[in-house]
Amino acid sequence: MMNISLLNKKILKRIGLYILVILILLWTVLPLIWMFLSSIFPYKELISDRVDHWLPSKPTVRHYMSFFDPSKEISSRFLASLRNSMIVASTTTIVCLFFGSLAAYAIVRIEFKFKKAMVMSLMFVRMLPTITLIIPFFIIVNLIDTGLIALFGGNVHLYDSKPLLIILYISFTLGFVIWIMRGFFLTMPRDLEDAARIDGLSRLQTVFRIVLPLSSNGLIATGVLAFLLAWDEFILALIFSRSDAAETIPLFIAELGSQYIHDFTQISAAGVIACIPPFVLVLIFQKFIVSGLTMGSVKG
Amino acid sequence: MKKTLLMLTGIILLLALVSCGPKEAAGPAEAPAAEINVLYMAQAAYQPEDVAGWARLFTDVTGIKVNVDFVKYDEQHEKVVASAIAATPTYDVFSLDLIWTAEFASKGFCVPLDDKIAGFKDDIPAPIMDAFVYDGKTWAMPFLANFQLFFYNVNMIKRAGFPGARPKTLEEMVEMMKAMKKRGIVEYPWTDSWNQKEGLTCEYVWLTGAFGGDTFDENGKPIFNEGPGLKALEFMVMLLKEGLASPKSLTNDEPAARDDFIAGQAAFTSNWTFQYGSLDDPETSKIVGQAKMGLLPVSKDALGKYPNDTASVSGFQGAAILANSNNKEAAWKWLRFCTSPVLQRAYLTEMPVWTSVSTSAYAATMDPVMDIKSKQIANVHHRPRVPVYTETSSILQKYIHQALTMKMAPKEALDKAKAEIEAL
Amino acid sequence: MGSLMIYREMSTRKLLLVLILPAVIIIFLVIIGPIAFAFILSINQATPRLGGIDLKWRGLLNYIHFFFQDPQFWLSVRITMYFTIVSLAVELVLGTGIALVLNKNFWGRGFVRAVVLIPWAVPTVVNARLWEWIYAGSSFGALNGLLKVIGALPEAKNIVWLGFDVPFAGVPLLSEFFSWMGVSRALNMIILADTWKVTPLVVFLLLAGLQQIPESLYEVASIDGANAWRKFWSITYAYLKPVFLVILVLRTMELFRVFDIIYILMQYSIRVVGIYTYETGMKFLRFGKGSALSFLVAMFILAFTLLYIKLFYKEEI
Repeated sequence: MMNISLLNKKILKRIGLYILVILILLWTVLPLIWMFLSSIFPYKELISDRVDHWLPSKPTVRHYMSFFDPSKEISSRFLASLRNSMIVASTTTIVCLFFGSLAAYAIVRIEFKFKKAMVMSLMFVRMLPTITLIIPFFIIVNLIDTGLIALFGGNVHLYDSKPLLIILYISFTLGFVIWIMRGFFLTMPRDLEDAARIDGLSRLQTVFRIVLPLSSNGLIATGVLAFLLAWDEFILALIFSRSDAAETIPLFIAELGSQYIHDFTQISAAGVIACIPPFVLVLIFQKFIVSGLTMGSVKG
Repeated sequence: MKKTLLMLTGIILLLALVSCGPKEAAGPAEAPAAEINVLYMAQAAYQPEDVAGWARLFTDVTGIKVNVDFVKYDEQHEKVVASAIAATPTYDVFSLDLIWTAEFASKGFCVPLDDKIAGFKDDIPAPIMDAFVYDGKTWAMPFLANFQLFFYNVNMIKRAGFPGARPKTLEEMVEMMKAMKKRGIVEYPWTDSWNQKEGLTCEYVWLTGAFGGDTFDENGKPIFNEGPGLKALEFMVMLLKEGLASPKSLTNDEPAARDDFIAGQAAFTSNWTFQYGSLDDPETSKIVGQAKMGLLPVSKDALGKYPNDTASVSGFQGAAILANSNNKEAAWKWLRFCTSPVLQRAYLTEMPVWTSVSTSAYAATMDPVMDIKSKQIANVHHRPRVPVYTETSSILQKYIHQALTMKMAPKEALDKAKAEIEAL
Repeated sequence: MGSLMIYREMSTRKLLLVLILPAVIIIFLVIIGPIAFAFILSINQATPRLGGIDLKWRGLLNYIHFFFQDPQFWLSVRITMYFTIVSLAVELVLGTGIALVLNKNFWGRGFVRAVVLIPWAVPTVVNARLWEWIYAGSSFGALNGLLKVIGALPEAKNIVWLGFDVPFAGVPLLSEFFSWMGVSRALNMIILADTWKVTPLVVFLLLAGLQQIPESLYEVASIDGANAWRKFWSITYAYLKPVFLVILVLRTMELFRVFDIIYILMQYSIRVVGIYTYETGMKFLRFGKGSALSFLVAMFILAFTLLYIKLFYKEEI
């Protein structure tokens, strides 16, 4: 008797566990499924009572096609913003990874006078909201442009250009990268480096030949996180871009629809496409991302 | 190892530079002598494809290259300002919402056009032209004559036991709505765009007009906290309290209000001209053949005050030239082109700004409601013409919203709004 | 040996310069410089004019305005506080729950873990528009539809999820408190939408912590006859405490800066500090006042950072 009730209890526990797992899955996945379904609804059907309209009776890929149809104005805007986002996010990531990891290494391994202040200001930079910088940025960019235009004529300017967005994105990504890489280097044993230096390698040689190759895991993790951060950015793009030259995908999606149109079929389709790069990164590099997150927070 | 790594980083940096470099640099090298940049609002009337088509035609005829950017209405103002405070503007021509006339004129952001338009301005109705006048000068060429109209579901009115005609007064409309609610024809007979955005100010301005007054006097002083202004807000609050207006109105913008109406979830609404196109569109509408567009009703106290007993709000757009533009001549040419009567004849779903077009026999055959539109546009009320309009309107929206969410009595809310606006 | 040491010292110094300088320059140019500039702007009245900006000295008047003359500023602070605290609480409770479940052994665990992280990768803007559509306040809305399907909502009724109803409207003291805090249904729903995106992060940080707890501890506790609750507090919680603290601090910062989702869903009708700063500076073009707000936020964050470092990094630096 005793055994059976224990067994029952165990089975009940298992069932409870699986119910919880299913609930978690539903909570995670339902909104995304709804976004995908919305994107293949014809507009009129989407504007219907939900109770009996969960699936499109005539699914359509029209909304996706319109983004890739060269005769449509929206397509050129969409493709430009996708390209801009790719360029801005990957350039930001590469630059930050390069300078950020070197700086992080120096901060961890070398003693110097203002180290404490340096680490503290890094922490500060990591936590500072972008919103505090937009007004000064806005005016400084304006001043620089005035100078540039005086020197080179009207077509050379920072406003609404990808280089400007890259510079601004670096401003908030670099601190983040240094911070996470610092966490990584703190956990890295010194023995190998010391051995290399006894072998007669200079410090710089040690960095490039031993340290960086050994930190590929950390670099990948940090790189993915930095890319996601830049891909996600909205407010700076909102203020500093205005056209195909620099508009990014988050801005494109925020602007989709206008004063008179709220086409959630189209918005959902664009949303699905914008999710693909980060989803791919997250699914491929999941292990790295998790370790990167813990590096940046628990350790560092 | 070291060399490969250095090479690798070198290549990566080079790639980064190349990927963002030339596209920026390509611009100046091959730029033609005359090139202008234009900012338009993304909207229903003229689709980007249309405007791109005009631009190509214009370039072919004049040799002036035109780059057009479409920006969402909410971000348009700050893009214009960003352009104005630059040494060389990012835009030469921009679409100017009439509410910015005072601000941009007083700051000298755009150029007066009086000399240029003197020859043909008489062909544009006074209420439209007047909206772009500040300090005795005209600052923009009217481009789009938007204003609000009344939409009513004839089917629902008939089912409620009425003949099916348009209610002439607000009181008559309320009576119909109560009957509808009683018979369970529709849960909330009224829907509108009362979310805390510019649309709310517009709705409030026409309702104040419907009660026989204006929100601000001729000198730009707020007078909305008494008389018509107060009655208008009390009317809105009453609709919500009685369950006649949909609580969703408080979160609706104009397209969302339109969606409610064409889904058959409301019997009455006021909205901009664009909504007319959706009423009988089988792609989107569930009330095909059931609804009509007509003149907005007024309060019975205001009967006889206006011709045709109706009041509306203006949402005109003009095209203006930025004062720091280096291509003012080319800019004017484009402006003249894109606002020309010839072009407007091709888009009669929108109300043409030219009298010669709107009264033409062609327009009458193409647009059966042209008559209604002409009558309605003669009765528009403008939103306040003050240099700090953005803040003024924002304060108004904030306090009206407080009243609509029942957090403040209408009188208290409007008094506070007035005090805050006067303190600006 | 001595000369070698000196040589190494020298090369270390040079290396230090080479490695750190770019980062230092960038940080000074794009962070510290602009903040200092924000301060200069904030003690002026900065108005845009054709081809530039006019500065007029105002001293500390902009700060005085916000502290003593502008009720909206304090309302913004309260709304931001509510948003931060409630979001944190929901994220932590939900995150801990999910992490505890995912830490158990069950069939398909790897797959479930991979899926659970996905919402975190959804771009914020997409997340905002996704929930905007789910929350649609008519019968088209997915949430209204779902509630009707499971029978929680009568067929004819529709809830305006992004509406401004104050929670606990009937209860006298509570409703006044929430009204004073600036809480609305819309704000609560935005918290939920934001939580959906961010909870996976909390889950994964906690999972990493959970995996470090030796299983034997639980076994010993079981033998000692401890119940589940007691095991949670004295083992799980004790082990996870540092992780909790880190999440607390980092999430506080992230939540405090909220802008995107509120701007897209509500524009300026829920004025958290970020929205209010943007509205003042970029919409009303009061660059001086906007900078004063920016600078206040920056100083608050600085104070918070110092506190954080004091708590966590005493021995390390």
